[in-house]
Amino acid sequence: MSDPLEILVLGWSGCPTTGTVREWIQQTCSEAGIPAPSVHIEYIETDAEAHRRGFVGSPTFVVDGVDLLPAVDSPPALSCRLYRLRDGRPSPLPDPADFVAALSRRAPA
Amino acid sequence: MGYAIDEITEPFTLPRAGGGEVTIDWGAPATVLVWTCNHCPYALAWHDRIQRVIEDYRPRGVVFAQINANDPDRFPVDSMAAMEGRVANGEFASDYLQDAHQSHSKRWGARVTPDVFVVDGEGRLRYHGAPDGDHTDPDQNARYLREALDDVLAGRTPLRQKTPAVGCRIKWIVDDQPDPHE
Repeated sequence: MSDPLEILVLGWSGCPTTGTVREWIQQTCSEAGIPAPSVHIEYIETDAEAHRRGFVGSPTFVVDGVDLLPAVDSPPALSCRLYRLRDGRPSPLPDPADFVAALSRRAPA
Repeated sequence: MGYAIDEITEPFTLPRAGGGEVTIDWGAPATVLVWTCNHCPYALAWHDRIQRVIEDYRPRGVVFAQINANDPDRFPVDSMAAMEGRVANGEFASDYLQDAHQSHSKRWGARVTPDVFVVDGEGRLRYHGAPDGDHTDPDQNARYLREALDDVLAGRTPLRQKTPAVGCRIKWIVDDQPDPHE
């Protein structure tokens, strides 16, 4: 049996989603019937650090050093990240289906 | 720390996206101020619901203003030019004002986007908080705000006068504000 996937969440304390993202990941994976990854949360709290790390908003999900859901035309910023649900609505979290699909692509075979 | 519920507030003037200035005073039976911005997913998730409240309550004499206080130097997406772009695109049902110096935002105690304030015809703060209880559910239809307005227009004290405002922390020029989620 392979080790669980490890996911790094880059977060900012000024965004309320950051405090609940671990539970959201677990619930989303549970509902999709896939193993929950191991979650590590790292906080970014200054503009300088956001720019240095190319942080485009909280939460950003990183697996093996790669943004799980790459942002298009989003400059680094200390902010909440804007996602779009599959019906087009703005959201501070990704569409669960997009998250699960991206996670499944990164899962060890 | 901002106005308290039932405290008398002071009129103020801010520049408006599209040109000119707007003075917010208390000549209407109720006035609604919504701190919002151009990039916060919470503000955008609630945006359409708030515009519908404006369309529904303006005929009853309620005055609305939406205010962007984010530091445009740190967040160019919240610059006056970007605000004017959204106004020109028809995205706002009320005046969209900029508090670039942030003094009014601090005086009011706005902390996140969106942050909603309802003031009665005497200038008394009657509601402060979220538009409704769930940014993910459009069916909530800005219920907290609508109920507060119905009460104020009927001359009643709103049943719910303060709720937790949920959203992105306002981007202060000097980030010296407390974490709203602590």
